[in-house]
Amino acid sequence: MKGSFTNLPILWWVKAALTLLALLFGVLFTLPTFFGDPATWPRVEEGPDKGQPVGAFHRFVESTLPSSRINLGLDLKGGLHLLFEVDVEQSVKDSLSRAMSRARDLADKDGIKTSDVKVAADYTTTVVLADPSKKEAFAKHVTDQTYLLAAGDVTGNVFSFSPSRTRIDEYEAQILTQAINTIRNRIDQFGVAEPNIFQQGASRIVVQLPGSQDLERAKQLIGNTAQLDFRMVLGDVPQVELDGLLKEARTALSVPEDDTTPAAVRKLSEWLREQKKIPTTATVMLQRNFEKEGVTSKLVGTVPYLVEAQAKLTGDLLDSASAEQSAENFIPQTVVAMNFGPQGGKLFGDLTTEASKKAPNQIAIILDDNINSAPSVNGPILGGKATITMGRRSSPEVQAQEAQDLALVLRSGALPAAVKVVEERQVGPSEGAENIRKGVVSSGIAAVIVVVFMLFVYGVSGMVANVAMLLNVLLILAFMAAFGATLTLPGIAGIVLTMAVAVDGNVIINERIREEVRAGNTSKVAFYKGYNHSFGTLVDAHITSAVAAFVLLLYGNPAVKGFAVTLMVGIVATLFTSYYVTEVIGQWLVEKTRIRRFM
Amino acid sequence: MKFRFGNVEFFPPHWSFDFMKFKKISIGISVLLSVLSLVIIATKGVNYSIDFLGGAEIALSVKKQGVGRDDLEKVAEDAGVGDVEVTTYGNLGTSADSEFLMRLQHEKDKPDAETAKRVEILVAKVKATLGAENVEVKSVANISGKIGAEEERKGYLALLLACVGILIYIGFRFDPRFAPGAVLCLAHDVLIALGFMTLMGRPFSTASIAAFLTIVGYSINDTVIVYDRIRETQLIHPRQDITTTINNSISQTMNRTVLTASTGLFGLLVLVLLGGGAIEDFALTMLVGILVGTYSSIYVAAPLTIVMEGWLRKMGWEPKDPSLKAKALKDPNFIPPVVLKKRKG
Repeated sequence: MKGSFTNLPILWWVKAALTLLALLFGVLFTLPTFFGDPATWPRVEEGPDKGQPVGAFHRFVESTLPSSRINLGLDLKGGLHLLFEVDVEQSVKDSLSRAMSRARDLADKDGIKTSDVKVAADYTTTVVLADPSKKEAFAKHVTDQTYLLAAGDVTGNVFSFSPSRTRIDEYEAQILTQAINTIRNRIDQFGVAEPNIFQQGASRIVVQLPGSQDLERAKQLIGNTAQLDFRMVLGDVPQVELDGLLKEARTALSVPEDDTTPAAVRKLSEWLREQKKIPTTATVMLQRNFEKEGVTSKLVGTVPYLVEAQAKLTGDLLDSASAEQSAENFIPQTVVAMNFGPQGGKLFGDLTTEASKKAPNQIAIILDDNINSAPSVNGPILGGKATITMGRRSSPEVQAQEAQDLALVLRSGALPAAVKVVEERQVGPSEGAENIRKGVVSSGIAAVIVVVFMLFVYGVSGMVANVAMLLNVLLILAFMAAFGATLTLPGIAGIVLTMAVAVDGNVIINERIREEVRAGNTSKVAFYKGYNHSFGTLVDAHITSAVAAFVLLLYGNPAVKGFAVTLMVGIVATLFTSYYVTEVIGQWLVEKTRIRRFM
Repeated sequence: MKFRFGNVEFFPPHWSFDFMKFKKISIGISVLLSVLSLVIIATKGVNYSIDFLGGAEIALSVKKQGVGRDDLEKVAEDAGVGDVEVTTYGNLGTSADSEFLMRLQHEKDKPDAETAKRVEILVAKVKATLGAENVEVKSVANISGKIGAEEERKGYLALLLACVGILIYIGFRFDPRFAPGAVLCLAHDVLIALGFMTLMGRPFSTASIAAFLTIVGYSINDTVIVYDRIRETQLIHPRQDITTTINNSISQTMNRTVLTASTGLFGLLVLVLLGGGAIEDFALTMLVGILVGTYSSIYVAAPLTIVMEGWLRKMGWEPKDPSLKAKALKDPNFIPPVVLKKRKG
């Protein structure tokens, strides 16, 4: 075999070098995935090597091999998958009405009287001006308060402001980023290893928690808007009359009696304001009382309160929050104790001072537009401390956990908008392991079948094709690791299928060489012709398959995306291995050895 | 069939079979199967999974012997959580009825979150009745109706997009005679595979969209190989009539067709038998798709090319003189790879 690599053309050497590079790339990027999760390796705690893995092997792996790994999908790992929809629309509307209310307060001081603010579905905001000639002065106040609106026309007394589309888009994007950050913050504090949180589409957020099984708790923890605010309870309408007013509004708007959601109550309040039954600066909110019943809790009654329409003190001014046991009034219960920062403390002081002077001397603690409690205030509270009681929704143990979770979400900040779960998937832990086992076993068997089959039909050439096919699988895994792509169960099916079809390229080439041999060519000539003439066919076949894979990629469903990525990478890798790699080996065989094929 | 280890040929050299002789029968079979699939889909309805319908799905593994579908239906009834549909799944390989899917639909006019509560009650009831140690909850999913409708729309759009993309590529790379055959072939394959899955009562999920798009990819791959050979044969024998060209081309690629289809089918068969659960449905869809796809490349795409050629010629279309194209494409030393035998008669 001496000199068996001499006199091969330069191009062969180039292709051979490329093949070796591909092999190197494949091995380097695939290996780390099999060495386990670096986060679980024991680490040196002290000294100059602090943070380095203890084991020499782990240290070697970390310093030499790339750090990216193949992510296992939830169906292989077990855990929770939650898809949240962020109500950006309501959030924008809230922002607009808050800005309007501030502008009206300021305008009021300048003697500009306004009434009846309305925000339409397309965010066009209208307000009634008592004196239309003061429109410029009022517009100045509005544009000072929000950059989302631009002054429009005045028709009669109605002054309309039109939204700026680009700025609203920007604002919505900001809300979503903020929501993702808040959710990430909460999950980090919750302590889940390797959570996966990302945006999907314009208003959705995917949260994947591998290994986690407590679906209800996760939903509570992430989906809790935790918008906390404090408002003064107003005495303009006696509390006993509120139930009657609400009933009136329910009949007028045909809202069912059992719908006590904040959205419904908001609608009822709006009607009451329009009918001038309650002051324009006030709104009605409900305290909803629950009682534990079996697995779930049951709503046992509601108490309406008339409170200020806009909150002056909100939860973002909190300094800290923690779950505590309280025995106030000799009733042992769990509370969340909150401490305000300097600014919040001052506002809280102002609020309690005002409330203590005005009947009914109560402030409302409002969580997500529901009144949590409405304690009486007998004098100014200046320490900047407040508590939220947990109610009798559940057993003491669950209460303690709920209090901890609430304290956690209050600490990590409110979500900028309400979120709703639109899709939830839970995969049991043993199911994930079972799926991996099934995937590995079936890929292994499929690989063996294909290898034996190719050997049987094509002999040495079949062996060459098999080597290429295995390199192909290695490359797919390496690419997936390099991109940090997620391997799912359908993805494994994709790999099995790719293995089976990857040899197709070699089948085409080998059939072609056979034909060339039959046509009277020598083994050598047949080899070169076979490769030359099948290139076009291979490219056509792969591009058309790639069209299908590309469409799958655009389809956007995360479960399908994993499969599409596998397929797409597989197509590129197949074209490379089944054509170039087999050519490199085959050319050497045909030029430098006496192995004769297809004769 | 030449049988020598390492050099197996399923079909002898220069083998040529008059495939197109049976084109009337084959088109009949294809039409029959397509119509049958349409009838099945229309009467039985595609068994959409909650991915598209919205609702909740619980996958259970029951370890207790002798618990059947009826028992679980009874438990569901006792739980009083409304309609629950119970099916067995993933049992082709093991033929044991131990894995069940329980499906709940969203109740009208109630928020989707209510369904989550019903799921909780149902799971608690099943565990209480059969014993918690006998029941393993493998997965739970709860999808809102809004998402489902979106997925459905996007899924069909994806299938359509793939077909249009392929139509454009084939029309551009080959010539107009070939494109309709290729696309009709795709529609034929997807329709029959869908008909089969519906007949078997298998759920149609987002994974099925992936399976169908893969069928589209495989089927077109197979068709392109045959088309490629037809085009090449036309360059070598421009005067030969198209039926002979097609017969020879199919015959010459038959070795490859059988080999690739077998490796693909073997791989999928392994997945069907060992994959279980969702993979079983996925692999079964593809298995049917590959079988039909292989058949349709020969008996749907090729005859349609003949039909299209006839129509286009009647409309005054002439293929560009292939010999000119041949000169431009091939080097002067080009030797035809196969010496074709003249057909007798």
